Amino acid sequence: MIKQLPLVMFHQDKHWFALEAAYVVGQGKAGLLDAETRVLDFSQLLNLAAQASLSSLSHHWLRLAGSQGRWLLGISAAAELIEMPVEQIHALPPLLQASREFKALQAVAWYQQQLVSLLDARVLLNLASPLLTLVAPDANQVESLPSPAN
Amino acid sequence: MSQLDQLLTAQKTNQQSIIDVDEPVVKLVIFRLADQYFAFYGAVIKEVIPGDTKVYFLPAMPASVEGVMNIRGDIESVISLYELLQLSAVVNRATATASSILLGKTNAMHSGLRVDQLLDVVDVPTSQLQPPPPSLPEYLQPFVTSLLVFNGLPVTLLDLDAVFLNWLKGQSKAE
Repeated sequence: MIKQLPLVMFHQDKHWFALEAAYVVGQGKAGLLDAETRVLDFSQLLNLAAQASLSSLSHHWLRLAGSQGRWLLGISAAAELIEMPVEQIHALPPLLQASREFKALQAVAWYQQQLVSLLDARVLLNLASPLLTLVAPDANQVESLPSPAN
Repeated sequence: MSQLDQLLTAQKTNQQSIIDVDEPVVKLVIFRLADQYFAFYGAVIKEVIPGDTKVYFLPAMPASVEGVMNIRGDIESVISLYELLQLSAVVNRATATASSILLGKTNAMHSGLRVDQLLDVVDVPTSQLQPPPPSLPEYLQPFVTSLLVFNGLPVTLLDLDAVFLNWLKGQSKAE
């Protein structure tokens, strides 16, 4: 019986989000990237900042399992690994499940009296695919190869 | 008419009154949204939550979703019916002191529903429920079941199942 779920939690646009840790294979700072790596800002996926520059919002990145090194998920601050007690995790209420605009939103959880949106990394990968053609590598960010934390 | 006759007549009238009281009634939860009055059947409203209960915003949701709240450890959505009922927001609904959140539950769906003011929970004789007139606006027709007058106020009785269904349809169209 699972009692705690390892999650990678990050803060973006005043909200907390988390991914199952099993789907996150590394994280790093956005300044340390090779020329071929593209950063897709999470806000772009969330459609909260569609007009913003894709790379300027991302100071950190997460590498998702299944992204095959083609792209990184840009986030505004460093993520942290937490152990979420399963009793704090709740399925989306049915009305929200049916009406959500962000299909990667899978569940919610309470963590330190904050609401955390739990995301399905597999859906994020699917959502990212059509956007990747629009995101060119940012030469300003190229410094060196990343060294994933943790 | 003798006094006895009067007494018997009065008793008969009283009995008739008692029969009238036994007329079928239906429990209604009557509330205000903007400047209009609505009701749900009491059977589908499981609880009334104080309007100042903290509602947490959830990103990437339709504008009619206020957020989610923590009800004794469970998560419940909170939605607004303003858009569905084509009402104009005149006040900050979330902070209005008189507001409440009705916990609505049908076989298919459940959610919190923000209302501007809970007026009453009353038993109303079914004879007071009038069918909606043909002139009822088209957008209201799918979920209005009856009209009634409560304390001199015109009240529109809504079918919660149909409200949920049409609310969801409205979100699909907005995408």
